[in-house]
Amino acid sequence: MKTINAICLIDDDPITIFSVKKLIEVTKISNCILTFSNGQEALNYYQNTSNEVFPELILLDLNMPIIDGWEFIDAFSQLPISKKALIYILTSSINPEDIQKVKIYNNKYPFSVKHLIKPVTKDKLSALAAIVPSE
Amino acid sequence: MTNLLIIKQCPTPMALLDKDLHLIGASDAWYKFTKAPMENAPKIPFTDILPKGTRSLVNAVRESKEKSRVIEGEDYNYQPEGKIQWIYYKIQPSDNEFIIYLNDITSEKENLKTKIFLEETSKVAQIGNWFYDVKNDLLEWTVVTKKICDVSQDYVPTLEKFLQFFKEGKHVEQALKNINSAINKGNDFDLELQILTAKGEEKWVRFRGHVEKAKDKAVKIYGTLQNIDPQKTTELQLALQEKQIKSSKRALAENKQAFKSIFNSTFQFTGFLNIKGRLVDINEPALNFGGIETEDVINKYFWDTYWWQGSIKEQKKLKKNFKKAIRGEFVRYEAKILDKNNNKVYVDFSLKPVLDHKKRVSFLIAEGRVIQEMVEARKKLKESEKLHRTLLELSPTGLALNDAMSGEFLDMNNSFKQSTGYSSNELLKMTHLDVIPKTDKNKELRVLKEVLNQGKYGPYEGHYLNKNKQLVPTLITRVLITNSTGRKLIWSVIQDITHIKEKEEELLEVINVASEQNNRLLNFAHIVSHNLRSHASNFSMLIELLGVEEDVFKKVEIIDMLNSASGNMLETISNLNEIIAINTNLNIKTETVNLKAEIDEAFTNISELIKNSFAEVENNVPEDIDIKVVKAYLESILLNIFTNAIKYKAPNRYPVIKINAEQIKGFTVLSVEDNGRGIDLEKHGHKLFGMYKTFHGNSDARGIGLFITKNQIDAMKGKIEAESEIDKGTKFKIYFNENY
Repeated sequence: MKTINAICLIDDDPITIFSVKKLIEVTKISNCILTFSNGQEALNYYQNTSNEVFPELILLDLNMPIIDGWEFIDAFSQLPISKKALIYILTSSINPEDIQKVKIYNNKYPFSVKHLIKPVTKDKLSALAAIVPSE
Repeated sequence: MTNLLIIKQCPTPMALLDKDLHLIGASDAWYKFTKAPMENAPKIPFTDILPKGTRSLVNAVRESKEKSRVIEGEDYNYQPEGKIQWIYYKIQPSDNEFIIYLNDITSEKENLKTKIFLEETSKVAQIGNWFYDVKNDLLEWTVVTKKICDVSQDYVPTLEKFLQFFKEGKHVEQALKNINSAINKGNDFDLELQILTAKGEEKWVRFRGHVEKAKDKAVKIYGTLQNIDPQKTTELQLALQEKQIKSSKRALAENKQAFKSIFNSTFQFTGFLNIKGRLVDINEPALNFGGIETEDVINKYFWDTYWWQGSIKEQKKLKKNFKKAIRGEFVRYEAKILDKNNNKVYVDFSLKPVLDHKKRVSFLIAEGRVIQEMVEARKKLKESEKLHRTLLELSPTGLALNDAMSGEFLDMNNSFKQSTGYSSNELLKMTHLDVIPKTDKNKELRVLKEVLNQGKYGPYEGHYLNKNKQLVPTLITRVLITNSTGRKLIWSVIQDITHIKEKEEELLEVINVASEQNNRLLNFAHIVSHNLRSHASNFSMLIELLGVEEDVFKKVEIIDMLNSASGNMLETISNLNEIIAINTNLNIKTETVNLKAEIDEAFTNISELIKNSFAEVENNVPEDIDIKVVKAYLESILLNIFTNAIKYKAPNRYPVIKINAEQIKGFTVLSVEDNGRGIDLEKHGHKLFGMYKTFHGNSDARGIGLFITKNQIDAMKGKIEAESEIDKGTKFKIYFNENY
């Protein structure tokens, strides 16, 4: 089983955080999960150069206080680490406008922006692990 | 007697008288000369034997007797054939006798006269003579010749000098050639040449020469030199005049030809009638039109010609008008004449009398021009005019005609009168701007300018003011036309769109409602899609975890999570219910409340919160403001705004809430200003009133309050605005619609 060295999970919903974190543990695709309850916290982490781990796979919720998912991507794109990033937007929305916006963001930035429709399952996480290049 | 015989035999006319002047005897020559009767009676008085009519002779005889001396003289008488006979007489008295000698000097007299005549004529006619002796090369000029050449009388001419007088070029050449020819060949000449006189004057002269020959050799030339300058000049002038006359004649001929060709090539029919009414001349177009020949009509009474055979009425009409014209009146009317196919064709026909110098009619010019098409067009025009008038009157659209400059009404149809409520008579005294409402006047003036520039304007929406001073919404098109006299007019097509406008407003209302509901529906779909699904996915994930988790304690943890998730979902559903309730206007019961009292009431309800946060409240709302609202909504709105002001207070200062109210343009505007954290509206403004939008990361922020507030305000046809500055505070302005 291929493992991802670190995953960043950003969501303001504690249940989602709990569930996804649990599922990652169960599927064992990574041993390192960083969680943030909003975009600003995550951004703060990535900006702090004294940290050692910068997960390149980011699971991102959209609807969050302070700065939402989109704003996070905009700010994140300014960081050098962003070039290697692979962002999966976690969304329960099946609104075509949201899906369209994901494509726009994918084209807008050099890093990959994709969507992952909730609920997150073991299968979806395993598939994700297969795509992400491991170090 | 011897004497007598001698006398009788004397070859010249001679008579002998006694002392009493009676005849003694006369020579036969006497009788022959005097033609006196030869009588032998005694004592014949001398008067009987003198030539008849010789008074001077009679007197001379008596004088000779009285004075006893010789008298000579001349007398004349007229011969029976009328010729004059000149008589020389000499009366010689001797020994009481008198001898009378007579001599016929007629021929001498004539010669003398001729000579004088010649000289005088020469002078008058300015004919000079010249004579050239060829052998001796001697030239002689007479006085006149010298005068002609302007030289003095002592001038001595030579042939060479003579020739030099002739003008250079052909004149001197001709003279030289002819003189030579005369000398060498003996030819006479007669030339008209120009000379240049000694005074430098140019003169035309007739230069003639007659050669006298001896043995075929020219010996002498007699010649004349006549000044013909006056004649020549006259002649030249005459020639010139003649030339002019010729050219005028030619011009006249050309004119005549031009006239003739115009006469025959115009489209107009032209003919000339004499005063009897007979056709004297007619042009080809007229003949071609009737398909007839000149001979068919010339010299016939005009009304008897082919063209007029269409009807007796037309013939009578022509005769009647001919009578008028012959009295000097110009007549013109529309006549119907026959063409070659026997069709009656309308012509614009006229008879024009032409007067002579005594102002009498000398002939008539008849003219005709085919106006068949015009007459037909006129008929059609009348028909179409009638049709237009009918359409105009029957049209459900208002039509009005105004003068473009003065704006006065000139014409309008029923429909327009009905829309405006005015009668024709009233409108005809009014101008365009009288029926335009004040508010539209500037716009109308711009429209009129545009119409004058572009020729057309519209359709555009405008208004008319009817007789009851009510606004009539209309759809107007204005078109500029210029009539035949150059007057600028504007036709206006005015459609009364009152009904359309009403329907349009209704429709807009419906559309607004529909689009609003559509928006809400979309919003709701989004909420359902996003929020309910997120709960559902949480359930799904937790249940999946429950399936894989083996640790009992951890299973309990997951079940707690499931509980929490179900609570969240119930809450979301309840929020959605609330939103639906607001939007479907269920429970709606409006009442008028006092704003200040409601605010105070709201603060009372959150007094605990205020106390704990040390908040300060300034309620500056005047006591007399009452608003009509759904009371429950108002309570909810105030509660939400006030608690927000406290919840999102700045961490380093106590909250201050200032509340004011004012009335602006149909709204009561309540403003609630706090000194809290504020919010970056540039970033978040668009989602401030959105559902489940939170901005500060507070754990108790649910992102539903302002969404509900906005929905409640919208439901009461009001609006809400926010101003904010980070770390300074936020100000909400709530507009309560006074017409709700």
